[in-house]
Amino acid sequence: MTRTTDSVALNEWQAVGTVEEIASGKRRNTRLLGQDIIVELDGDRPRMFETNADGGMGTEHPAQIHYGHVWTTLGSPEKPPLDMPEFQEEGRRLVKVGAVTVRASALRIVENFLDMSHFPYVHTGILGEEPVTEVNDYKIEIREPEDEIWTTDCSFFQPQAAASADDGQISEYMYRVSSPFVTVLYKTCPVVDGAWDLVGIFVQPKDEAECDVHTFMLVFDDTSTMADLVHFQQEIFLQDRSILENQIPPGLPLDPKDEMAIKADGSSMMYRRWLRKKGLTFGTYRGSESSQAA
Amino acid sequence: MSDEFPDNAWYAVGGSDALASGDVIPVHLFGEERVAWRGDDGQSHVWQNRCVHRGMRLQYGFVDGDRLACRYHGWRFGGDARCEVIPAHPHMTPPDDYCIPAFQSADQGGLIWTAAGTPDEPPPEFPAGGEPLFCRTAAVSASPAATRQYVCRLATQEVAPGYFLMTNTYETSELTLAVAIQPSGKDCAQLHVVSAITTDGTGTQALRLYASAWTRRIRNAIEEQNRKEVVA
Repeated sequence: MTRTTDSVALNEWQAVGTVEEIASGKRRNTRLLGQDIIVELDGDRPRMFETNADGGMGTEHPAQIHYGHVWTTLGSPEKPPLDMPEFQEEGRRLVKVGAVTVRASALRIVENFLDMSHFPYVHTGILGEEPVTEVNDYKIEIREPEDEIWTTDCSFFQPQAAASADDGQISEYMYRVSSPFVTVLYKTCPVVDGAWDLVGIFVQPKDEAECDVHTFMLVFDDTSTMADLVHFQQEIFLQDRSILENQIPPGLPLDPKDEMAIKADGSSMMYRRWLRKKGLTFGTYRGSESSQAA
Repeated sequence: MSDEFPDNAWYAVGGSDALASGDVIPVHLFGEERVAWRGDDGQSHVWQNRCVHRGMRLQYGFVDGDRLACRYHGWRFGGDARCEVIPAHPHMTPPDDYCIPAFQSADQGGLIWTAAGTPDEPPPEFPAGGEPLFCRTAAVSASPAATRQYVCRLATQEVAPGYFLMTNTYETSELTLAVAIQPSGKDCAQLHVVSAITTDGTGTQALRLYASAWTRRIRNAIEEQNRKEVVA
């Protein structure tokens, strides 16, 4: 497909790879919102170009480094990428899981990330297990002026909440959606009392129904090896992918009549309303229209 | 849909023996995705292959007693396709309209049948005398129309749309085969082959081997003819 005309999607910052994946002197050929792009590091300076018809470098667009990833945009974002002050805290480890391609809409991927009721069925024995399947009430709000969705007071029983967890625990969660394509969760740290571990996904929408997902963790964990931490998160994400690539239609329906919901879907319904209010169309299900993720 | 494969008709989607209690399989009819499953009560069902909650393909779900569970959130749907249990809210009674669109289906003559549209009649009975013995299914990479045209030439009778009766000689015995064509999609079809258990003592294993070899030969011939036509 060609570059989208959806200005809501174009005017966001998007992560397109880790700094390691785009090492100095190496180019990453990828795609963003239907536009083929080239990303490179010129020393420490990230650069992004549209790919020409002949494969060469075309128009240059802004690029920045945040949280170990290269961020870029094809439009004119009104606000910078999300603020995560936890990255300044001593003692945390940043785990960059690396890009995983998922043939699904970015919006389905973000919505799945916000969902707790799938834990016992998709992440059986790790993040949940029958018969403890109930999703307790939680709070949902839009925080201004950031225009972010926050769900707080979430809790769920988990057999193995993190790579460092030996036993089951009731995990407390908070979820945060800072852009249609960026979401982070804050979760009870099994090691440090009172601390939150962060897990987030920066979804790079390549086309309406294909993404590269850049997952990170920012955790207090001095015992697990980096490989253990990456494997733990990769296993979970690959379980999610088996779901995400089998949702019909691939595009996310924003009309509440198209898919049934329950109270536990409160954050998903808020996300869908929030997207509709923004006027986002890229990656949504739009009935019988042609060029879409149907 | 076409003249040869009309709407408002029954189509076989597999052998009854090939769908044991607890099995869940995807089936296609005219390019549409359906799911077939069998509960512990022995009842088979054919539904839309999509959960009404978050659109998950139900073919990846699992059978829990006489209910089908969606793999994504464990919602349990009873034999009448209505949602009975939502694990995220175990004490909630799901609303009446939380149900999966279901299609008419039945086990008949060794095959599982599902309806396109609303047929007036029940699914066709086994046209050969004696007990049906489901032998095999084969996918054909050719259009349903091309598949039908080939099978039609070998048949003595078209019992129902895409359902043919034929007699073949195997060693010294006359064998009757019933062949159902499933119009899966534009360029693909399935052959479901059932033979009649004979009274002359030919064992079921021999029947299956014979019918299987026959089916393979027919499938290859249809695909070969199809390749030639595509090239021409």
